[in-house]
Amino acid sequence: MKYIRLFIVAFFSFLILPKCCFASTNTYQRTREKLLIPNDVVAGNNINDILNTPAVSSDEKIYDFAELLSDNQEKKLLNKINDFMNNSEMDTAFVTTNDLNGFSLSDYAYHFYDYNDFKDNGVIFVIYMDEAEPRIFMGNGGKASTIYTDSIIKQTLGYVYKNISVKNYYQAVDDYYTILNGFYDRSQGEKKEYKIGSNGDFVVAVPWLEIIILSLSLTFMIVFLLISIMKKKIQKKHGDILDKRLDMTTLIVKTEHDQYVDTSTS
Amino acid sequence: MSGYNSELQSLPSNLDFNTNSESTISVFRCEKCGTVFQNKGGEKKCLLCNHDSLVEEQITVSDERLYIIPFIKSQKEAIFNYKKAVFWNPFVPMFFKKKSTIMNIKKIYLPSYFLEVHVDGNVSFFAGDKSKVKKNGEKVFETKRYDVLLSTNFDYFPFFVSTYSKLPEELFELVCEVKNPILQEYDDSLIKDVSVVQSDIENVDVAAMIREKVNKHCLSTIRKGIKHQLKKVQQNDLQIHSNSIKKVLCPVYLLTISYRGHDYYYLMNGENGRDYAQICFGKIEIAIFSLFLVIIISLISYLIVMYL
Repeated sequence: MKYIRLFIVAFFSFLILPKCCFASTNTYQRTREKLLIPNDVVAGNNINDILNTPAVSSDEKIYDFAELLSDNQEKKLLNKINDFMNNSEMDTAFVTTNDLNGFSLSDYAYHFYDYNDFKDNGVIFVIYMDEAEPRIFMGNGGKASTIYTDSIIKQTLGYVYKNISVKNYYQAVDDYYTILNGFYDRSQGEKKEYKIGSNGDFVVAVPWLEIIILSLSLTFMIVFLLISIMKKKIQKKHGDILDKRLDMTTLIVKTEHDQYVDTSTS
Repeated sequence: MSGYNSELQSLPSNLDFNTNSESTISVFRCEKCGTVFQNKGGEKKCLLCNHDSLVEEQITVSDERLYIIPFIKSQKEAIFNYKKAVFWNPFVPMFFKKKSTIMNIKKIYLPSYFLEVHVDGNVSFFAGDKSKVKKNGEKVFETKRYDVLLSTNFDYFPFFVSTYSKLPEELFELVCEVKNPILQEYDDSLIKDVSVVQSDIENVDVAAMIREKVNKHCLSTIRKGIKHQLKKVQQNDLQIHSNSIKKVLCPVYLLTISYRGHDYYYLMNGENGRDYAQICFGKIEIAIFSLFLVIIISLISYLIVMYL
């Protein structure tokens, strides 16, 4: 009877718990003797930064320390992340945390990426659950910095934050990687600039300011040129009428004498 | 100035006119601009300024031998040419293009002299060349002076001189610059429905005007033959002769446009169609054209960004 009760409790626990069960993230312990940093990172004055940075396996890609996502959501996102990595040949890391370990948000992100074994070309996305409100950051390195410019980063974070502010973390991260993929694909094709529309779609970024400046400058030059030409035409017509009436076949101008008189100095 | 042909000092004596006889004609005088004209065209307004205050009076004119150039071009052609001159110019004010403005084109005869001029004589100049030289270690200006005497002898092709002062002289010259006009002896039947503007410059003044004009041009022509930097006339002994002078009525189509306190004229030669339009640039029209251009360029740039 006792075992049956235990079985029933365990069975129902199995049914209920997975819905509220979040994925765990494996971390490793760094020591001065074993820093667990990539081969190209040199430990010197930055040793304290290295020790304060979580050591993780770069294969996991999702590091949900703040436990914002369920296992199911992580699995789906992992597929998306793999699609992105295969498409762009870049590395990535997605991190959520409640504690920046004394770093600023940007430093935390870059240290996390640099002191773990991620590839040179890649992006990192960090959600920091600050007490006041969530803060997000996107960092990039290598080839990624040429594709994801400051303007694109700003637009991307601005778009995903809408879901983060309403605690829809899964959708935010899903949108994030959709946008990264979209910008990557467009950077390989036509040389147009794109921006994120209100629905998360990609629209051509029309440089209105440059167009207006160009239009105004060209208009000014054209109008100035036209008016100058017209005024010159009018002036030309008003030349001396006798110039045209002079009979050049009869014109004789003879120098009778051209005598030197003197020289004066001043 | 010395040495002018005494014939030009009093033009009428040089002409084959019967100056002993005179006749009285009926004219209209504009109270605003003073234009006097024979109103054969039934005008109700002044031919020049479009003012409607006209006074009829009788004046006495000498029966000079008069020539006339008949109209060949029609008023329709004048209107067409005017439209060609102003319609496609986006900066010309809309007032110039209004139908009510264009309909004011008038067919008139303008008084003028048609004369052949010959010039000969001597002119002496003070001439000089200025240069910078080094003397005793210092840079100074040195001027070499010369005494230059030139003799000249040439003709002008026959040209018209207007004897109606209220219309800009250069406008008349531009339009009536004709090499071989068809001159016919004056006949009333040739001007049956065309108003004739009367001269408002005395013959003596016309002669003075021609002398000054020709003399100025002669000197500028002769100066080109002097191979020195500085040229100043010392003595002018040019002789200006007129080989023939004819009093001629020139056929023109005239349109006067009063816009913002200024008068602008359109003149077309009624014989050969040569025309000239005085225009101005309207600020509003410039602004509208600029706005239009900005929109077009922006649109083109937008299409280039989107589709190329």
